[in-house]
Amino acid sequence: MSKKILLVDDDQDFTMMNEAVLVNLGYEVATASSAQEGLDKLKEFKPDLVILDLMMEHYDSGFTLSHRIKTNPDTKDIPLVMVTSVRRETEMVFDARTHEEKEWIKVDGFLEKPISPEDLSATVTKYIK
Amino acid sequence: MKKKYSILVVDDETGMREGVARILKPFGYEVFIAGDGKEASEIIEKETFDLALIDLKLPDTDGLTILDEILHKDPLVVCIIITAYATLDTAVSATKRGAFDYLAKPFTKDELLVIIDKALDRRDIIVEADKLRKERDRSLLELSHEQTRFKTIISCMTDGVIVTNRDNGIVLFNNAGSKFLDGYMDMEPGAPIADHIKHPDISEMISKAGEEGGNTHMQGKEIKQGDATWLANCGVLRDEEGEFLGTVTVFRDITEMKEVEKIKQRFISLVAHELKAPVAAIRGYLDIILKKAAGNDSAVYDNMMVRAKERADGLLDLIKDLLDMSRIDARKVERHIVPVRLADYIESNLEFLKFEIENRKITVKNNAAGLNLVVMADADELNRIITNLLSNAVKYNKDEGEIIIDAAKKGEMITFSIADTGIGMNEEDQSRLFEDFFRANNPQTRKQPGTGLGLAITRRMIESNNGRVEFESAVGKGTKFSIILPAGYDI
Repeated sequence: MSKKILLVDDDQDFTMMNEAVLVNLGYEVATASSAQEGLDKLKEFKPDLVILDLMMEHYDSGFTLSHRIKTNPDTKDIPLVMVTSVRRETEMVFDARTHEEKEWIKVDGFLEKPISPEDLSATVTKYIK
Repeated sequence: MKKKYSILVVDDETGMREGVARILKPFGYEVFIAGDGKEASEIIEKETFDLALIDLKLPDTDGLTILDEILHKDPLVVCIIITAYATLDTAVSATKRGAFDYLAKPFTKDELLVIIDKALDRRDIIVEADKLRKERDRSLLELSHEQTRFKTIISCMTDGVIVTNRDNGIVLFNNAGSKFLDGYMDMEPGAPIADHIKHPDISEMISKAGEEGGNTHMQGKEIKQGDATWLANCGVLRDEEGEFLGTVTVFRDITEMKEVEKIKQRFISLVAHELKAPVAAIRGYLDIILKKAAGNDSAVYDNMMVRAKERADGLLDLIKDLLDMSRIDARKVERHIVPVRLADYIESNLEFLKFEIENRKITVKNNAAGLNLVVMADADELNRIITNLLSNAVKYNKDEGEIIIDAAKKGEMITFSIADTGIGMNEEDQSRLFEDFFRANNPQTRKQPGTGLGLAITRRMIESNNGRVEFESAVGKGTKFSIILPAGYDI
């Protein structure tokens, strides 16, 4: 059975292109355009990986959703990759390398926009065994 | 030609004064003679002379009174007292009162000539000294006028000025400059700048300019004082030989400049962000298409290309809006404000939007139809104002909703309104409605393409046509825009 990936981003271009790439790689993909929709899909779709945009309609909704996924016993083991475009806009680098950083930003990996098909493929393979 | 001296001789003895005159005249002196105080006074009044020989004893007054009279009129006249009673007392009292010397009677011709020579030398010296003093006084006066003028000019400047000497002591500052000083009211000239300046940065800048013997170039520093931002520029003062004399620091209020700069920065960053999003999306699609990263199903690529084209169209709209805005802001738009019939433009726009209106099953109640209302406006801009507002009324309406158009003349103005029964706006969104790039963010608006500049441009155009725009809105009920424009004469 193919592995399942949930894409959460309010940018419909982003979900459309990455869905196409992931489907071509043989994954089953679901998309959500808000944190709430993401939370709903999480329960019914039961993904093996979540790719989530940091900044959606409200500036912290990406953070909020990631926190909820990682604090819920049912979902906390699902690998979570956070997509950001912060570095370019704020010169701030978001990353979680140390244990302490991973505690604070509860995600497993980061992807920087713009994402090339190769980057996406490499990241996905890394988190889905 | 040698200068001709004139001498007054006052003596009550006829023989005495005639004798003196006879001795002096051959030497080229002009001689005035007086026999008593009265005659002397008349001559003093009328004539000028270099030297006076005054007998101490006169029938109607004494020689000291005449001495006073002469010196009062011209302090530079050299006076010699003649006395038969040559005592030390009289000599002292006469010189105390301003006489140059005294001559005891009887005296010889040579004695007289010697003392006259001496007295005239003295006269030359004091006349010369007086001339020099007057010249000096005059130039000092000019100098002080110059300084007063200079100070007046400096104090009128809105820029602050503080001048320091080579020891970093404050030597001059103006009113605007005093803002940057503490305790300047009772400050000694040359007081150290470091003790009085409010901003240590400035004192550092000034002493640094001094340390290097003034080799540094003009340097600037921004400082905050209250709500204002000032730019302080420190320049070096030198004399003709290029020797370092001190510094002059000029403070300029750049608060407004900073404000404009900030607005500009914010706008540029907004524009950059808005331009980047569609380009990034188009680039992403192209990347996938070129790499065939979505497999072999051509329908997927077709979808991507359709979407990429939509984003490119949106980008083009945005660029058009930006160009319009820049033209309006630069007042480069040539407006032909003429009488135009409002109903014509409303009808043509409704015709233009007919397909969309029917598609969404929206009912239009055009109460302006057939009304002969004429507004003064640029026809092209009026058309675009109506296009923007009507297309918004369609875009943000609900399916099977309504658009109600009203128009009426009120005094010299014409008011027309376009109301929809759409999503409406909350109070926060209402307050930001006309902001550049503002778009209400909710699921209904996210589906609609838009640059966030339409209403900003619409308002600018309405105001450029001497009108104004008002609106009322309620969430879930709809929004009504009212445009008030000057009425035109009938056409």
